[in-house]
Amino acid sequence: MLVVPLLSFIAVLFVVPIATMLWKGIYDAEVADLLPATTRSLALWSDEGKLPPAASLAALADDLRTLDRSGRVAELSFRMNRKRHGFRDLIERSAIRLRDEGTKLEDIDSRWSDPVSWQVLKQATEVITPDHLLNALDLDRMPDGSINRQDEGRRIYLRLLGRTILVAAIVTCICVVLGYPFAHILAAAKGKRRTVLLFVVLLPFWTSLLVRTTAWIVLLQRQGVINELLVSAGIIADRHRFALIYNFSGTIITMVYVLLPFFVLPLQAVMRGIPGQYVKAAASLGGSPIRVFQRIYLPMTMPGVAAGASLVFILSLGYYVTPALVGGRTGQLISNQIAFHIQSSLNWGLAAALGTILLALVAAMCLLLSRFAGQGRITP
Amino acid sequence: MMSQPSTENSASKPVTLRSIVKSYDGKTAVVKGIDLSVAAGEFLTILGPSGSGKTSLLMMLAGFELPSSGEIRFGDSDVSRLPPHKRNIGMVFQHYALFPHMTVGQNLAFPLQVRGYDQVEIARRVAWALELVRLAGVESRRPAQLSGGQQQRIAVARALIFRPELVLMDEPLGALDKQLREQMQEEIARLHRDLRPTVIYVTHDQSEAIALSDRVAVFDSGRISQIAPPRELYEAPASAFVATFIGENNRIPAKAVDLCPFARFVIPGDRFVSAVPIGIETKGADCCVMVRPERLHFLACQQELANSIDAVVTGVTYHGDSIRIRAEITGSTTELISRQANDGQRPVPRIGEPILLGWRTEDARAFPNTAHQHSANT
Repeated sequence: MLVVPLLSFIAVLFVVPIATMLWKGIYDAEVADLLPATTRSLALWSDEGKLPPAASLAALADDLRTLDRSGRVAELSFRMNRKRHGFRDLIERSAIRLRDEGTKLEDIDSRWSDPVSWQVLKQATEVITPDHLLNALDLDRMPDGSINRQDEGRRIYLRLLGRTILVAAIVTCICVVLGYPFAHILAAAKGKRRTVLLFVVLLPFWTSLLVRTTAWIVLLQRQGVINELLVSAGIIADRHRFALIYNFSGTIITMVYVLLPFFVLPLQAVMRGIPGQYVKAAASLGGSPIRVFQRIYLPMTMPGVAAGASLVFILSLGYYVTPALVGGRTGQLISNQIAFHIQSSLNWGLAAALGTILLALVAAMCLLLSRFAGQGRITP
Repeated sequence: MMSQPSTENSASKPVTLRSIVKSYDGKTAVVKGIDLSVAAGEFLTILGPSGSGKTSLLMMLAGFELPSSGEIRFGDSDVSRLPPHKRNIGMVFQHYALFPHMTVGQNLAFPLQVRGYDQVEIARRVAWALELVRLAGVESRRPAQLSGGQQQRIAVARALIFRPELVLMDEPLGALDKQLREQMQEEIARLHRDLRPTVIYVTHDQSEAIALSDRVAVFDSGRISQIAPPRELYEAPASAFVATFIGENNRIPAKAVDLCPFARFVIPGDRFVSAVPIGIETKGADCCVMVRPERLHFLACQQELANSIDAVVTGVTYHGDSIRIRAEITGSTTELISRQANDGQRPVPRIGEPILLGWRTEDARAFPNTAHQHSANT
């Protein structure tokens, strides 16, 4: 009973938004709402290679007239243009010409006599659609229903997804390399020393992420602290200042900084849980420090490495603020594209589809990690 | 006898400690100059209360800590500055320290693998070691799947499998319950008899020390208080500390009234008694007379004893095989404990009853008071 508030909180703020997102990725009723009569009529037509019956053409003409009267033709033409180039022009021209009573669609534009246009229209009126998910994977559904890759110039999401995974992997690796020794020192420290070290790790959490990221801009930019120091020390020439920010490396540096504590904290907790006697026993049995590390300490700390690394990796996959601020053009990640589709292009369906793919990726990652360093493999 | 591995790479070696001092802060020493020789194949126990420096000494023997000064020799070689993995010591820890992510077999193989043994020899030795501790067949299990006693036997096997020059045991039975502890004592004694490694065994449990050891070194405040075979330690303790630490002892405050030709002491209740004086040099010195409960007799046989005092019974515990009484010396508040085997013939004393307690002079030892005060402070 006492967890009811928590459960309802989770239901409202976690389950519902995610379910909505998944649903939005495959459900798109915009065109169907704009063209109700056409939608009903086309639902019955499936004869490929032929024009739909005259009734469907009349229904579309009716729908277009209705939209024209309420001034919503642009909404439709905008949406249809996403499905196929040239539809904006076709629809808007048709709507204007239909103002003359008795004008027939097939007389306005030859494309209305082409079954392909009607196939596109039928696909657009389908409420449950794979189009957004296909688009998010750089795939395109042809009017005849076959699935092709997008044109070369329009393939952006897979590359972006690849870059996101790459950034997450690089950030995770750097965190492991930088964080492991530090976690060990932190775990071994006692008393005041430990307090100070822990304070250093936790300090960033007390400052706004935005402020910290801005601080990195000050440090890393072309006229920033690091470049100025290097130039004034004569290490690099003025015209060879490093481009540390507003690119891929800026994103990496800043994300490592932000995410390092998420790696160190779970790992040092695991390390603290390992009694010193194991390492002592291994040494007394003849293990050199390197062998003891390889055979005893590293395997025993692996659950902590897995926990910390998966945390960093998963957080990296969905990282938004930092790349948005310091990523420039080459440091943008998939989440920035999602934000773009939500805020600017208003293509929520595609945004939801991208989100779905990201979610699937994270879920797959979790599954993989639990397989690798699953619970029960190490029992202290 | 079971077959031992053919490649006998190391015989047991004697261990010599010379003026070992250990201080952590540079001011106060935890180990204050230990000189100790352990013969090859000897079972030596370091016995002492916590804080007596026995664990620090063990850590120095194992190489986890370096002595502030002094020298540790295994056989002919000085190992004082050698890191632990080069010392060739088998160590058994209180909490087993079996690697949880490895099977029993892998645990046993670890010291052999790091020494570069080939697979065939490793397999042979693992089988030998498992047979040695009577646990053949658990090779592929994880340590967590074994009981505490089994885990400790594997830990012992792992410390012996590479036939080290020296085996260190750090309170190896501390985590076991009483019954298992006794079984393991026999097990360890048998292994020592069969394999004859040099063993240095650290414990705070005096009954363990007495049962297992060739010799026991009693530690007190960073020094060796006495080093002797168990029987000598019990029968002829060299100090009040050892007398109270090993076994039970009555401690009667006393003053020396005469030392020559016979030592006489006055005890509370203004009684004169005799005891063997140990380290008492002046008449009138404050001291204490120690008599073990089983040597402090009550009831009928007191007439034959050299010393007898009046007392009043304040407590009686009937143990079946023995009777234990607590009695207060008449005219004082000093309480004594007497424990006598129960032959079923004599009546059991009752609380409030006057009683006569007596001992033979050779069963009582008198120590200067200072030694005890000193150890009581630590």
